[in-house]
Amino acid sequence: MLNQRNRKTSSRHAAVLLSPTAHGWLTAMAAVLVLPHLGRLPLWEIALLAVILGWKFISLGTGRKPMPGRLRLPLALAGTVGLWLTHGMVLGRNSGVATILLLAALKLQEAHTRRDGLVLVNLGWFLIATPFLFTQGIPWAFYLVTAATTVTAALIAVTLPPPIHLPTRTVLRQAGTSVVLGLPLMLVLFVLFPRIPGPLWRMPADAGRSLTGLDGEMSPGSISRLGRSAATAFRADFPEGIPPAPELYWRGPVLESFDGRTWKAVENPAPGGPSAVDVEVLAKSIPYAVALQPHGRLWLFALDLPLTGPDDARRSATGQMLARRPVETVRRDRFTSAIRYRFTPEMPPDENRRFTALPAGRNPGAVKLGRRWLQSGLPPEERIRRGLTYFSTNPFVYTLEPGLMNPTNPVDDFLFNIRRGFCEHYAGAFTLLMRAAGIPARVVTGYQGGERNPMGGHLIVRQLDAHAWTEVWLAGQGWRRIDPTAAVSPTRIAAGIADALPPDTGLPYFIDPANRLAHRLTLVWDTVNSRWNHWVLGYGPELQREFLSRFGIRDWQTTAAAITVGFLVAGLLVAMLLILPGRVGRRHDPIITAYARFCRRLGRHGLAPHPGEPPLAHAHRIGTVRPDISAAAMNIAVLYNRLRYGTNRPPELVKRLHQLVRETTVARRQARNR
Amino acid sequence: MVMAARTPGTITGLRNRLMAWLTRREHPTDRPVELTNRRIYIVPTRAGLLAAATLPLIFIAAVNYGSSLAFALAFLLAGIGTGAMWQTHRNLAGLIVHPGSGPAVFAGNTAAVTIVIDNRAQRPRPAIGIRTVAATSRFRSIAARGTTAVALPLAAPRRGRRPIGCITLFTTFPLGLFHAWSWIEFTTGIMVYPRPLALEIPPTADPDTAAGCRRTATAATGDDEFAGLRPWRRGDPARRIAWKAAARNEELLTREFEADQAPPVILDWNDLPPEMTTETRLSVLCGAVLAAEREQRTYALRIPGREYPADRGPEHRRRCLRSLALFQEAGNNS
Repeated sequence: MLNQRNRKTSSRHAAVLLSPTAHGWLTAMAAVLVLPHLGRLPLWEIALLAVILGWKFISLGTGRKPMPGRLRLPLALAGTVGLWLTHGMVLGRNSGVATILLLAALKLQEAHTRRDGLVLVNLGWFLIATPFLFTQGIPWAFYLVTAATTVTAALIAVTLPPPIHLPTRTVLRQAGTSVVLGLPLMLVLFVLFPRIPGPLWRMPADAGRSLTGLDGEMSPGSISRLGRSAATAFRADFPEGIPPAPELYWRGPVLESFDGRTWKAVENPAPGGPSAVDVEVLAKSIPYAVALQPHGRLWLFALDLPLTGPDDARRSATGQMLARRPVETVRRDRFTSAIRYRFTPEMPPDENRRFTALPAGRNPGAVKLGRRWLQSGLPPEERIRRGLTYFSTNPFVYTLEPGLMNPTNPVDDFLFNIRRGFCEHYAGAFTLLMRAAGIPARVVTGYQGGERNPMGGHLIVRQLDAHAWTEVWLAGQGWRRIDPTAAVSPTRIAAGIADALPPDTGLPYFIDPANRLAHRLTLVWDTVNSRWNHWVLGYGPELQREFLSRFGIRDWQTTAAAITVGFLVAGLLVAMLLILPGRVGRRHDPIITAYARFCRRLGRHGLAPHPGEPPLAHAHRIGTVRPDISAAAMNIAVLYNRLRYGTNRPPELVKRLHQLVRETTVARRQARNR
Repeated sequence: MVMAARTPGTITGLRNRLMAWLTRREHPTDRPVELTNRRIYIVPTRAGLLAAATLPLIFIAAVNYGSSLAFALAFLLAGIGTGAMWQTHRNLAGLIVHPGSGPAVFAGNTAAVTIVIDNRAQRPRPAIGIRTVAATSRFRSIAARGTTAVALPLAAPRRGRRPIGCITLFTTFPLGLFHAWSWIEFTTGIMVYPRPLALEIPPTADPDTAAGCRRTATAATGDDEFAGLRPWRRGDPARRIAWKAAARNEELLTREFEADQAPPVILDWNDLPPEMTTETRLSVLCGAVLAAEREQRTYALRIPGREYPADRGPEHRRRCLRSLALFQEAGNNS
């Protein structure tokens, strides 16, 4: 379909057909570009791509017929319908990649001319970038170089003029050379090219994308699920030193509504958040930076309680930092937090009521227990202490595997029967007890603690550090953090989860300090990743500004000016090198060197050739003024011409030229003697 | 370049002036030419423009998703492109092109001009293209320190010296993103003889020789009778050499037959009908020279200003045809 139009428009120049080598390289390129997406593509598309690529490979290898043209339309239709069924009308990241891959495969299937090849190669360039929209770890840097080399090789094969054929190894080496040549400029541009804060327009979010991390809800098992994941949640740098572990509460989603089983956040956390009056900083605030791994949600993690954060984030009324857009790439943000604070000391009564609400008829045992503390007329502080004492005096066990709870009244089941649980069980149950005891309370999810990486000096917070705790509100004191897990397992808070859990509870192998070497390697790899995240992935407008300001380049315009001047100077240098005659690539020719030596020697007597004077003409001229060296000059000129422009260069003639040049001395005042 | 070819007129004029300006430093020459940096021009190809259009797309995707590796890809592509410009230029730079030459042809035929390209560098030069103004391109890969000869077709419509004219050496290797080229104008050329015109009746007014001519035409087909020996001349066929006699003598001897001794054909410009134009006369004389050679007869050629005594053989033939080719041409110095 496309081809017929191509042929018509390019009828003036006969269309150049792709060579079998070019077909081979294009197919290899397509395979390399599809590979990273296998995990993301729908099965039907993988099958379709496999059929098209496989058919092409086999027909290339065996010389059998390529896929018949009448299959094109059905394939294209099937692809379109498949895309529509899978993704609907959404043109997000997943669907976009799926569409481009399908287009590329269909184009590959019908590629015949060089023009088709060029279209494919340019699709290929673009496709290299697509995995980086999802993931950007260090291995992907190697993928970048590999894929770029493959596409370059395909480009070489496509643009090679027809009768010329190069073996695969040569093409590959040439492509590698081209890529290596491109690396220096890539580095310079990466550092200096002005980065525009994105995005230019909002990209629709992909549906059904799941990343490991907290999900803004809490039900039994939802956090202990993370307890087995050693994936890094974020890394934090504290320029003034890492605070002690019991103070490292990383505040995430705050959950207020409870249905008897699941805690949920209010739909839209009220904007604005506590004004300056609402948070009273009681001790020196702590500055730090967090390099957050993408999790696809709005919230950022900051130490309890964040005071300032990045420009594109705000603090909600519940004290969370919320970004303007979901976190889809590694981001590095600076925060300051107050460890000692007074948060919302005054609260209107109707707000107050919201935080004591309980689902009717669920978990009656727990509600009854809380009500008893309320009715006994104890002051709020005493009621809280009663709650904590209940956990520390009864035989509660802190474990990743508490077993199943009764789905209707899970809190009752946990408090009175099973008594085994992870932090979400303790936080959930305690918050419920407090609400029943008339104290406004809510659940805060986030992370607690982290491991200090001695090499990088930073704090690694992993998914298994996920935690949940309770906040209670006391009149005049505001929201106060109460961690019921600490009442059951003080080690969890003081030393971290690895020490708090009994051995052999399925802690990921590499994280377990018991495996010394593995643990150490993990820390090394973490340090490398941390640098990568900071200097490569996190290198955006802010870090660029910071970096360039070290050289006195303060703003965007100065950067642009500096780059322009830099390129102009570099360009001038190159142009001078190119335009200055007789310099580039000639220096090492022994013939030229010998003749130049001869000319220099003559020059001392004012007999140098005029600019542009050919050797023979020069020799004639010399002959008329200096008969003594006439024969030598003529011999040298003839030999020079012969060697320089002859089809071969016999070594004995080269030797003779050097000998002549060496022997021809110009006697001083020779002319006057005559 | 392609654009200009489409619409002749003003654009062609502009293009010619541009070419004249661009090539102002490159005088036509009969010497070998080294492709120095200032002789080489370079522009992006269509593939290069396409890649340049892809680059901003990758950049936009990188900005939109804040993906550092996608930025890196965009910058790498820019780097590869810039490197390719250098590589393409370097693939051409330093080649030495020897002035083309080729055997003489008759007008109306296509000559084959052989251009020798010499690579003095330690690196190979893949996919070097070469073409004359009209001919289609030929491609060669030249090995490191290697030499290649390319035969280019050159149309020879008219007699005379046909200069090779402007030839173009070009390459897009390695990535096809840039087109580097160099123009070279050689003053050397090939000799184009007049288009031969074979007349039924030989172009001679002398009745005796005309009769002789006819007689030998029949004699040539029959058996020749041995007539004697004469010293060997260049061009005598080997089978005519009298080897036995040569063994006795100091020099080689050629056996002569009666046909050889037939009176020479006199090919005289003035014997041709007066109404014949100059070109027709030259064509007829050319045809007659060929016929005489074919019949192995001696022939003399007389044209205004020039006279060649009766003789035969390749050297004589060449001299005669050459003077016919260059008749009344400027720069006729033979």
